[in-house]
Amino acid sequence: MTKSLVQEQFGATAAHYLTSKPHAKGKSLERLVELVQPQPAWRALDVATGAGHTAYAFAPHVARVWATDITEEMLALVRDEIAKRKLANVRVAYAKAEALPFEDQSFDLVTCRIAPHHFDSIAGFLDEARRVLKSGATLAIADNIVPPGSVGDYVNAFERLRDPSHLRAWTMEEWRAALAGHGFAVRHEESAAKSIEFSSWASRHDANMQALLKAMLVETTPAVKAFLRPEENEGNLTFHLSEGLFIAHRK
Amino acid sequence: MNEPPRDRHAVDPKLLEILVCPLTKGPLEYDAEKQELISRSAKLAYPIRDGIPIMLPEEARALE
Repeated sequence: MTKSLVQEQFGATAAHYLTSKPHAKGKSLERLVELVQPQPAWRALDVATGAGHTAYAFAPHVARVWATDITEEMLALVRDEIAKRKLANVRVAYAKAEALPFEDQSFDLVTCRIAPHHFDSIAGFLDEARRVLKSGATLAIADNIVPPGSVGDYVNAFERLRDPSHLRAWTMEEWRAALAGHGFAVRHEESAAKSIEFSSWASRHDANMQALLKAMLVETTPAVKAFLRPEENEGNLTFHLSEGLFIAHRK
Repeated sequence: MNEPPRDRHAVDPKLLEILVCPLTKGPLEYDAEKQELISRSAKLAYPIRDGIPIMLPEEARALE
């Protein structure tokens, strides 16, 4: 099997995502549940579930959750976690976000959290999300976002150097336009900065690469610094990324 | 769609309830013996490994 960059990256670091703070405990996880207000009869789909955090968060509130991903190691881990957490209503399948293996209008909710910036085609994913959602059903998206223009380009390059499977995080404006263009009405949107520990974020790399990433973070233009806000406290380097959140209805 | 047989692999028949071929969106047939989901419309057999359907065309077996 020829593995895609995403499959290689996540296969090698699958277990990390089970405990990774931004993924397991990010504010946007609780916030998503709160904003979506899932109903007991709902059938939900979590696309690019990764270590399954979003699927676990919604499972107690709905009838059934399907969780898909393209990385074998990730879903094996999710299946073990489902058993451990006794979440009998979660099912898993390997599938690409742009080619979902589900009937038209079969879901009341599609979620996708901290994943679209890895997709080959976010537009392709939105088409598929629209197809599998019932009329009026909910699409809930949280993903890293960047500011418009050259600062955004720099942040994407910085993230991509760390993780080659990071293709491109969008701006809020791009999300807004794409959702409207793919037949969704946005009911709510917000964005929030999240603090990232550099040492944990860069831990998958050797010392040379970490030095390079650190240089990109601390030796940059004022505009980039204003967004990333690198801070060193007693040898502990932190910075900020932004996450955007959209709750939309399928028209 | 036929009711899939219950066998030792114990794939829940409900597994098939909303699954379709990711390429054609056509129906799938469950082959319990081979542990495959057959898409006649795409002429592909998607494997089920350890009870998890692999709905990736590049992982599927081409049918004659």
